[in-house]
Amino acid sequence: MYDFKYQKAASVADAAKVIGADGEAKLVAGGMTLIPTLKQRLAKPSALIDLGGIAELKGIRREGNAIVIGAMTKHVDVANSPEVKSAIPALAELASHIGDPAVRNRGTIGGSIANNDPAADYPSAVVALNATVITNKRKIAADDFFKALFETALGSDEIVTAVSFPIPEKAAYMKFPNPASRYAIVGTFVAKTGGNVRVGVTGAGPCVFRWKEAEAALGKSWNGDALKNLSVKADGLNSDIHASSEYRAHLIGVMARRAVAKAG
Amino acid sequence: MVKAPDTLERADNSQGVRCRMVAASLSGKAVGQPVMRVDGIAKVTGRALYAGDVDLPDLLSGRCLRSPHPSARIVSINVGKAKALPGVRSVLTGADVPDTCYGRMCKDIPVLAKGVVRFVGEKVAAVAADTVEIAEAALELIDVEYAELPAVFSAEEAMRPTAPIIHPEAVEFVPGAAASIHGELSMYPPIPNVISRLRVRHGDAASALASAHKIFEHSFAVPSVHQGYIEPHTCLVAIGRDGLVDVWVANKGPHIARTHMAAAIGVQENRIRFNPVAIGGDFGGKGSLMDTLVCYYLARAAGRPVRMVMNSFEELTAGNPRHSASITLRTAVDPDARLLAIDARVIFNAGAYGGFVPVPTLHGGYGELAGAYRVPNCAIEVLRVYTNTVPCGHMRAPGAPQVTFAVESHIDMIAHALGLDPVEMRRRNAIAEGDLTPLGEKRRHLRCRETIDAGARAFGWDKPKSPGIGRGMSTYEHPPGNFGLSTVALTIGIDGRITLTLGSPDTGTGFHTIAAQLVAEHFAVSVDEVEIAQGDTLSSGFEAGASGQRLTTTIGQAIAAAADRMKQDLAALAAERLNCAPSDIGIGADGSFSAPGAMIDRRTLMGWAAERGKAPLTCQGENTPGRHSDRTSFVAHFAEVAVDRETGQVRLRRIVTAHDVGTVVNPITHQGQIEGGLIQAVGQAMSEQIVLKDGAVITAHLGDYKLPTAMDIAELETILLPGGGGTAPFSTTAIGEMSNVALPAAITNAVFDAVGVRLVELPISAEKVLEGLRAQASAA
Repeated sequence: MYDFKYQKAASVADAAKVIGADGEAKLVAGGMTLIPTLKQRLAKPSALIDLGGIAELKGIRREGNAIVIGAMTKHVDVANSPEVKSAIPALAELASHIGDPAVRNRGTIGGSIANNDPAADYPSAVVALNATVITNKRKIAADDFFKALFETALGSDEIVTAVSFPIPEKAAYMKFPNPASRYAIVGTFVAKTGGNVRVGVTGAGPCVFRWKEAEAALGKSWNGDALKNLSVKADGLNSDIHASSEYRAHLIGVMARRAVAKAG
Repeated sequence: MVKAPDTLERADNSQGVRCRMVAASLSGKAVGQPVMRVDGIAKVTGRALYAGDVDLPDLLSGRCLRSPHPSARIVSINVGKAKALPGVRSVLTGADVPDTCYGRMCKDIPVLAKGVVRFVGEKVAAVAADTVEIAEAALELIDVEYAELPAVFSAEEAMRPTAPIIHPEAVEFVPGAAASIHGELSMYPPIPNVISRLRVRHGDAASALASAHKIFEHSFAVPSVHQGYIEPHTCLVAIGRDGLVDVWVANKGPHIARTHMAAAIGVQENRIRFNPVAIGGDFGGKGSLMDTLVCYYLARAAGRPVRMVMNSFEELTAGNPRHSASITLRTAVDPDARLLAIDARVIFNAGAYGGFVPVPTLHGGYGELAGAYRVPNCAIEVLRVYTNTVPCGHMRAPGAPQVTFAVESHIDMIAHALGLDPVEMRRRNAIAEGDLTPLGEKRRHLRCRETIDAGARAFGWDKPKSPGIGRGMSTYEHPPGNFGLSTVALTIGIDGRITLTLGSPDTGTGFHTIAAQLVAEHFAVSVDEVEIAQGDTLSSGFEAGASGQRLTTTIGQAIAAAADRMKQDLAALAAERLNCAPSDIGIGADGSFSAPGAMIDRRTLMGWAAERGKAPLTCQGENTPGRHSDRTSFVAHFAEVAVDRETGQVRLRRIVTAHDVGTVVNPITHQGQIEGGLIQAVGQAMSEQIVLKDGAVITAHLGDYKLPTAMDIAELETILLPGGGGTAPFSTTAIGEMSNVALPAAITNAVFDAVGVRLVELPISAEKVLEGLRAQASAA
């Protein structure tokens, strides 16, 4: 690990000011990706701005027909939240299978989506539930938030403060986990909200994406059989030591069908 | 005292790990008792001293620059900028160190690359600096110009006549290490890049194969895996003003390592002192000097002590992992499915250097091949081959997991081809009392069939199962090691307490606790009255170190010899005091000494000894080294899996492991060996693999190199067969290399049982299973 300054931010505005002024400074939420990156000397930030002390970033609340989760809410709290469990059980279940207990007790939703790891679980839910990412500056629609591998729409002094998930009629997440790490080799989140069907796919490509053919088919008939004749092209999907792109393409279909069945 | 059959049930985690002990174990005051680890509190409180904890005045940190090429000539190295960096105290390249190469048998490992590099990760230059950060910054300032050379990565390709020769010069080796091998051994035979070729024969396999009812031939591949210890290779070298070289190193056999170091650096053995340290896991991977020699030369050049710690990237890319292997088996059977002959060809990929192992080839590659079966004719050829990949070392039962995966898959394939139940196939061919091993050796206490039956019963092999569920089994035989010298000293103080001084560290197995229990049992005292002192190499007698399941047997014998002497000395003291003949002195169950009409406890006796200047009293003991114990042990594993036909995913649901054991000295550490070994085997079956790309290891961190976690482990049940028959004191046998060897085949056999897909390469992956299912569908 290289040397860096450590600063505990008192407020979101305070943190935004520091990262706005110093392009080399980095925010740290749960640190589940950043700390290992630092330990391997793959990053050399000038300063770490810790968001852990900002109370307003934590917590889960129901706002009208949405569940709003503060950016610094840990996975374990989403998994155990009575509000999430009753309104969007698929989201609580997703959170309960992220990594392992150590990760779930440190990692946060804001950290996860701002990092935009291609194998992270949350992005699939954000996209499929058509959530809104709330920052200190604006509200960003899910479709506009995730840009590319480890890249989001966030500006240089922009901080995720919360994510607002509209409550769906039906939703489910199915993940094909990597052994040991439980990162998604492929994770498919299906949701039907206000009559609209969305399918978010994580782990398979360089960035979370929507499987629009499946959405159209499920829009006509909410049944796993509706996907039987669809297939995803392997071109452009990830291929690595854990799985080939062809295998990932195959898994997208299997996981989507199973998710629909699970959603009921 | 013999306890009634004991049932020991416990639930260790949510997966429900259970141990059912059906053994009636000998249980004295200490042997057989679930004694807590003698090093346990020091380890959990952080007081235990590991090599990385040692601190000295003026200590420097050493780091190495490593080759990015698998095969290249070093054209030039410029260290000027690195030397000029403030805080850098010494910089070395191959030109600065002697030409002497190091190796535990084959002397082929240079301290730093000399003129050529032979694998990605080879040490090219080294820096000692005030801090690790400065040392690493200095490495970045070293300019090396390479001219790439042709490289070869697979052992099969390396043996072709056109392959580049990785070691063109003759490699020196210790002939003594080859002498113990039976069979026809050629070191550096005239085959390109072959280190050793061993041919072992018993009977006439060729004739039996030529005339057999049926012949089966199958080939298998097992990848390299890392030992997975938690503590990385660490060493610290300090050269005293008087020239004494002090070493602290994570090494399982300090006395032998000291001897190798003495030879390599040209310093007499008794001017080198390997100091006692705790070892954070070994699994066979910590037998070499690793960075100790370069650390010594850095310390010498800097005139200050130097510490080197490999990071996890270095461990995974440039440690000394298990040899990958390819294995072909040809087996002849008669119409009753009885094995008539096995012809085996085993090729181990050694990587760029052969010196990380102390033997010409891996013992498990032939020593226990099909040892669980009666095979009257056997011919085995084992080749160990250089390639331009990370050099390989030993790992828990070296060679046996690779070969046993092949044998236990092969036997299953034969059973299915003959329409025979896999358990019945094994029972029918199980070695039994009076049979010779496939290599023609005599062993006794052959409880192969009983072990299989006990496991099958507990597992419910014959019970009905649902579709998609598969069951498989595997078995393995392995006797305890009885080779190598063990020397111990027992000291009894004026307070009557007993100290055992030994030269072996506890590599994490719990051996120091076992040793304390054995001592306590001899003197009928509680384990609390025994202290374990791990001596340095100057103050402890020679110890060949942990390997081949030997310590409980060999140190057990040494302890028994020392205890006998001490009892004789104490009896003589008592006789003198009591004015009687030593033969009148008896030793009671509580460790007290008695003469007709008198009783003396140890403390009183030692008080008398002190008056005569004979306290503390020390007695040495040694073992009588042989090869292996003739009392062997068997294990039978049973695995149940669920296979997802749509994804190929294999879920391990349940394991039953049955062990034929001797006296269990400590049921806790014994079970720890079984469970730890099984979990290691689950990793090797399901997820672990060192993956190479263009010769470089790309599974370079624990995100990609997948050690199993608690979530990956199945329900586990252990069956221990009633003990007995052990040749070591108190009739113990061995457990350390029993549970980790055969399990992967039980799992792949279960996958076959579930969906008919045969995996002949490890590890199992969902994608491979799905490919198999698709091939099946398109063939149908």
